[in-house]
Amino acid sequence: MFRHFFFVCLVLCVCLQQAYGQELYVFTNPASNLPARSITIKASVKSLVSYHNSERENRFMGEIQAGLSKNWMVSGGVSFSDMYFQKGQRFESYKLYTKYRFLSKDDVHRHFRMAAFVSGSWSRNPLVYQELSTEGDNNAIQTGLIATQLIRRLALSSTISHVSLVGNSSQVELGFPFYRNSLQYSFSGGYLFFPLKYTDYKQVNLNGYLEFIGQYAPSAKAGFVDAAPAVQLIFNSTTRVNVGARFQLAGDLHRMANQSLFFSLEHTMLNRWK
Amino acid sequence: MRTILLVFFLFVEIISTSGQIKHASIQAAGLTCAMCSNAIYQSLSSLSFIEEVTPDIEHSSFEIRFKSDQEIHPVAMRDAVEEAGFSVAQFSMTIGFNHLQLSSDHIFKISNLTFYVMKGEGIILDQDVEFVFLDQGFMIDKRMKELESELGVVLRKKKKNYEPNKFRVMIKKDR
Repeated sequence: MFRHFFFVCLVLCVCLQQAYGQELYVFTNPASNLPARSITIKASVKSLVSYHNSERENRFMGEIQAGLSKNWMVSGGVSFSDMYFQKGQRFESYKLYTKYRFLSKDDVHRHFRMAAFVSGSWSRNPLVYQELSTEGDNNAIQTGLIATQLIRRLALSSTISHVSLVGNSSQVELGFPFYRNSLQYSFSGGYLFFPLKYTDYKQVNLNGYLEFIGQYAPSAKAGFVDAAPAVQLIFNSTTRVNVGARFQLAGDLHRMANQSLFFSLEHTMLNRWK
Repeated sequence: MRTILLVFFLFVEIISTSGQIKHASIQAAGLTCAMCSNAIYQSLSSLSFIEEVTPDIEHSSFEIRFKSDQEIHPVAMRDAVEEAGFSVAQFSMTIGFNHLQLSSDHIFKISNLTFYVMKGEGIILDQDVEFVFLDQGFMIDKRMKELESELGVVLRKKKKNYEPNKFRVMIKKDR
């Protein structure tokens, strides 16, 4: 597992040597926060072919994020899906997330930032898989740290977190043992394809991202690492369209699917209150 | 005695109205993208005493023009940049003078603002002069440390020692 981990780090470093960076990652959060007094609304779809029934299943997520101060943001979201053996779409979960930026070292076109976050989710889904998440699947609490480095136009970010199941969800036994705790980690980088030179806020931005997202269950000594490429268009410096996918590079955890597609739309509104 | 007092107050009046703030320039730190720049632009534009903000996205800098009839608050401008999620790398203000000679206290006042000009004793300020703000929060830490050793003074202040409308400045040199 750790061999994959170091391989992923190496690939990421090489890929991003000459890259132009952005840190508006599609699958993870940077240590930077939303601007104070701003609100972002986000609608997302995750689509996958389930391991068990070989049918395409979709999860629809809605989220509102608010920048309470320059260092502190909160968000809340709900999800609907036809996953977990459902015949149609139904409400399945809600989630609360908060992040506090506790370190910020800025220079012109550079920064190093660190943030801590806590996320909690309630889900009506039963415990089926060994992969744990606060994205609609489990009743869980996640706590973690994020470090993000911007050097000129190259941005790298890393997250490490702990996910722990809360309460006793019903279990669907499929012959795999369940694990109540996992470590999650990610390495992310992005680059700007367009524009080559900024002249105004109405220019469309095209960003490419490459993220590596992993999970490790210490009690099982098992885990997985996904590669998650994504493309992002930004309109009017306020509206983002994200398209991405996750592919498992290596892993031995029981998951709903080893591949998934992701689409989201985000709109940020600045200076919403005094 | 009355005449002396009258002359004194006239002199103070001349000092306090001897300059006119033309515009300010902020370079922000910690960003490259247009979305980040837009957050700063919107945050600055929301301040009531600002007439117009002209952004240079490529260089993360902003030219600011003020409403003529309102007090200017540089601390509010610094806070606006920080609340957008970033820092001030350099803050400068261009002031137009009509031949003002600084006295030994290095101080001149315009409206609600008091300026202490570092190394300013006896210099004559004439026409447009650009001043760089030296107080903490108006430049990046690295530059502040360089300037502290260059000028031989401590620029970092404890929060309780801050006077919101009093600023240490120096005349901008082309670097």
